[in-house]
Amino acid sequence: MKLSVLTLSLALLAACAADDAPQTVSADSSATPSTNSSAPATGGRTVQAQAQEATTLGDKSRRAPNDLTRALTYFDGESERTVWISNELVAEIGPTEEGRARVLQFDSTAEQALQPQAGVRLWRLRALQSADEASRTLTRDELRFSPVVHETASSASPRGALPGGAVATFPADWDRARIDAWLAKHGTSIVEPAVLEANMFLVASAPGLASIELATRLHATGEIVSCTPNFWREVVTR
Amino acid sequence: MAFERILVAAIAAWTLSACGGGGGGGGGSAPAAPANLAANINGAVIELTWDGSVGAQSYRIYYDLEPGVSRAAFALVTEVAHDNQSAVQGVDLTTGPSFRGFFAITAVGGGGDESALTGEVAADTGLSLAADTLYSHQWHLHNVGQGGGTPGEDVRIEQAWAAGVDGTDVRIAVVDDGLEIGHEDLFFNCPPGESHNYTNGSKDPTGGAHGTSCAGVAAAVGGNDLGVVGAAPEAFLVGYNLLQNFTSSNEANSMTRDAAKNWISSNSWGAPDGLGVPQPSSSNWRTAVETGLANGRNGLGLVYLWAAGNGATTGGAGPGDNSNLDGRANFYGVIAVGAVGDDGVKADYSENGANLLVCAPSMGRANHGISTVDRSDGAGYNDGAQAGDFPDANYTNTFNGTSSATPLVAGVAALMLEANPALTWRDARLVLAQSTRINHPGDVGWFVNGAGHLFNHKYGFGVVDAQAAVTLAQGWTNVGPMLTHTSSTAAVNTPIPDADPITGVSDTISIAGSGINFIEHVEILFDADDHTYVGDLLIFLESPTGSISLLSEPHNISGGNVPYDGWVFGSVQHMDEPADGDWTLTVRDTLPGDTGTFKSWRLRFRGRS
Repeated sequence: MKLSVLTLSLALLAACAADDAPQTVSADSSATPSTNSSAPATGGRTVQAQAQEATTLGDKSRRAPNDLTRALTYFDGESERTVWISNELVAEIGPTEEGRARVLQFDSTAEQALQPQAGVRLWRLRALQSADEASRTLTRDELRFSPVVHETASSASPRGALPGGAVATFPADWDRARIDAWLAKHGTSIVEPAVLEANMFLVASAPGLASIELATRLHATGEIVSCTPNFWREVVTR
Repeated sequence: MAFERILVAAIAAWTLSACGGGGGGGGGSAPAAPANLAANINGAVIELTWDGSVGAQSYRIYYDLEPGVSRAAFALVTEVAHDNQSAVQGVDLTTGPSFRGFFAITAVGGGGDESALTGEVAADTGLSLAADTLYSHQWHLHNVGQGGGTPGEDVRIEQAWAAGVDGTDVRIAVVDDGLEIGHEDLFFNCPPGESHNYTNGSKDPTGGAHGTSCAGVAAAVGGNDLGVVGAAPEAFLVGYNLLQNFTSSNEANSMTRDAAKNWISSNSWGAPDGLGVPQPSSSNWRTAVETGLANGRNGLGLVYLWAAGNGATTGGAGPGDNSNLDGRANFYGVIAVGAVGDDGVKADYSENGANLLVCAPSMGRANHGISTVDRSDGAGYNDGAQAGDFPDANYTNTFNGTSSATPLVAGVAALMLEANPALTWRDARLVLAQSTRINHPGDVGWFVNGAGHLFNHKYGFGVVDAQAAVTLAQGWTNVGPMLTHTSSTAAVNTPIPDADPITGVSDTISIAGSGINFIEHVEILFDADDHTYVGDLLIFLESPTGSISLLSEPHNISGGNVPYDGWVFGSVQHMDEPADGDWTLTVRDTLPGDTGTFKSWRLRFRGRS
């Protein structure tokens, strides 16, 4: 048995090595399936942009430059992670006509960027000092804005935003009263449960970078299991 | 508003005819609850009868698809007037075939006061599978060569149905962009008031075409002379429209919502495909999934299905994106699903991965898509005027992607869980993996792992086979407790030779005394955080038996590079191999121009003694 396993494993690597060789493939994307249902009327087939992809393995021309400079760290569980703040994009949380008017009042040259999914509308601001300052200015009453954040230092990387709040997980033996008291001591409160069985709750903060500040502050106490910013993330249907 | 929509759908689905009419006087207090409620089935008509209550002006008919009928507005079917001429009251409800549910009624007095509910009665109008009008197009269920496909390249579901297994009492949660619970071919499988809308907190997640089509693949109503048939045509469906309001909190919540009632969570979404860089899951999501595994389904654990990803064609050359770069799809608690076409060959977009457990039919060769439910009245993919699509805009034949393959496996899993409700989430994985059909047998990627299982990084253990899965599930004895063993972290700190596809850097971790004789999942934590182009790297893990998990193949990336900074790969390939022995990780930088260091790695095994 072992001999046959080894033989087949070597064959597998040989096949892989063959794949490694630089190769040219057709750029025809006609068989490309839907990767996103954002255009449901067409069934999502044939994503034309993919026809423009690089055609040779090892062609690194599509690697995007690291054009973002402002970064913030936060804790995801025990792992420290970084997000980079967009130079030009602001996210409107829960898009409304009132929100659109407010953005255009703030910056009459603002343009709506491609809307990645319902629930968030992205704006490219021309008269921008900084995305977080703009978000703080735009946020008022029911209108919530956040700077767009990226997962890498490249503005071509997946986008996120901070609609407000942080997700806090408390020790299993803490009851609701203890949690409420602890949060009150730290100037916040529960918005809603996320996973009750795990003692995980969404706790309140303003949208934008205040979410990271709160999560970092609560995490730093060392008294709770974890606390992470409540992100909106770009995800796709498959 | 949401309730009105459900009610409208209910009325549309039910034809009503009261047995009697007339009215009557009434007092101001609630009458007694009616007595002797009974249901008689006459073809597709449910005849409800009960003894009239003194003082009743009318009777309200409530239903649910699951036991536990309530007086909630969404459960109200209709209200019929009291018949003064008869002691026995009644109403006929025409549901169409394939309805299963429960009814209870109240009496309403003249002042509008309503009695308590009666005890509930069950009603089942029976099922005649495969009679639906578009069934002949559903090659993924029964491939007879429609459209040039290869006969037999399907999930062999008819044999399972013929054995009387159709998903009864199993509930599938479709986490997606929405679910049209009032759709004519979904309505009677969607328990009222059980879905959730993350944008407004209501019970109606109607709004997304993608989730609706996924739901149809999993569990469209069968035998109702309408449209299509789901893989589990009698399973329940609930929809959570997470993608309409995707926040960390909602994401975690959607994994565990109603985890006692939901048996299966079908997820046809994920991080953007085609970027070719690691995209981690969040700790909150992992905690939520682990909570669902530990506590869901009354401790047996939810079965999480995950679309492997559609990014294999992006990048223009090489293998494209790999499912193992998706921190959700490679997590030990989920089942990653790839896609094959109607010829059994991998759909070109479907991502490879050592984390793939199984694959299932979807659009592949010749763009032959999947026929399923679509949003009603042209609100989805098909507006009724699409060339080649169905004239009936409530359905589409263009559904595709690993998105479609995933709910198909969810439906098959529902059949398995009906056949053996005692399966834990781990047993469900094992049954699925060990009952597959080997597709594309000529592909060079097939090999035998150290436990004798055939595996292919394109296909996992093969195409799901419903008949075999149900048969295996029926005779399955649950495996013992899960053991976990984590190695120490090996510090390597060796530069990876650039543009050297032959040598690379290898390091070995020796495992002893793990107690794990049968591996179920291996996590490989890998750190090369200074390498500036992850697409350069060929990374593979060799087990003590000599079988190899291919973790990363050279590929082009799009957008910004994300380094392997404590990245966790997942592999199911070593299923049933022992953990003890020498494990070797090899890293080769196959392409010029970027360099970095193999810094460290660590292994974590999950399995049993």
